[in-house]
Amino acid sequence: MKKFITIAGICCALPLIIVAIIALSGQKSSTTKQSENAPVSAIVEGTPSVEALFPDFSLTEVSGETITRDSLKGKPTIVWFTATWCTPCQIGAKKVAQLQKELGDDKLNVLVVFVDPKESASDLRNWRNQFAHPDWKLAFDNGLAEKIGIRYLDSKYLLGSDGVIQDFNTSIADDQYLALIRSAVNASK
Amino acid sequence: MKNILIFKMWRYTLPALAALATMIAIFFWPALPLRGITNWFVIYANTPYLTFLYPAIAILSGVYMGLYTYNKKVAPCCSIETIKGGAAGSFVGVFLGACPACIPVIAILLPLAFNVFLSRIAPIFSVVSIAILLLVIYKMNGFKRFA
Repeated sequence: MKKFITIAGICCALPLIIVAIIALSGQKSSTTKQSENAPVSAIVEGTPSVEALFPDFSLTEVSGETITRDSLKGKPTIVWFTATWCTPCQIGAKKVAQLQKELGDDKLNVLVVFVDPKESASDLRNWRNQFAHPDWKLAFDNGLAEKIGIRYLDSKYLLGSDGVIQDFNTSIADDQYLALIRSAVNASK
Repeated sequence: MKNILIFKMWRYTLPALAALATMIAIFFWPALPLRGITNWFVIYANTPYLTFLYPAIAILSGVYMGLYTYNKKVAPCCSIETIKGGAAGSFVGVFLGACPACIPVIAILLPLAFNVFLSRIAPIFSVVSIAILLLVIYKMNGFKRFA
């Protein structure tokens, strides 16, 4: 009986502990505030926090265009870390693409960074045709994910038009997330 | 047929409750990290391999827990040395088979590259989990006929 209770207790407690750890780690990354005056060099390494300037980077889009943080300034931007086979990301991408059509195609930048090294440029283009918006920028991860401490697929940074991080999200893009994008776009008008 | 242990155990309250509770808990637990049952159902419905494999993992884990309870509470039917194997099978299926991309439990300890690799081969984990659970249930005499 004692052994049964122990095993049943472990089986019940383990998932709860793990879920709690995930929830707490997600909460921490989305609520930690960086000093407003922190120099960019101070946040280049490690996970950037909400209200900090997103670290500078340089990625090559599948079309060959070079994308940097500064080239995305001027409108709200989502920097999305994913893989073509990630189902929650596909579902979220469809929703965000739909929202972008509603808000106006030119009101939002979306940079999708693919972290699976086994994928090809044609995989990325097919993904965009199936799930995304034709204006979205697609790039292979060039060490950016590691540099800023990304650990989860479907990690998304929402940047304001000035490049400052407004939100960091690691779960499926649901209605709450869409509302956040909508308010970022409205605020930048 | 009715006397095969995996069916027979449902006649007893405790094993039946343990099995049912485990099945429900395992099937619905991804809703917790995914922040809602709707998100889980959307992902479940859109991930082809999950459609059949994940319910199988939930059902087999439930049967395993039911057999364990039957052995403890109703009548000794089997050696309980296989308990660890069954728990391992459930663990593999639940944490690595059920869309690790959505439930990044392993990412707490591992770098992104390894997480991506494990996520890509998640269907294999689901199949391995089912195989382990079937083997453990067999070892627990779950498919044996009892009078």
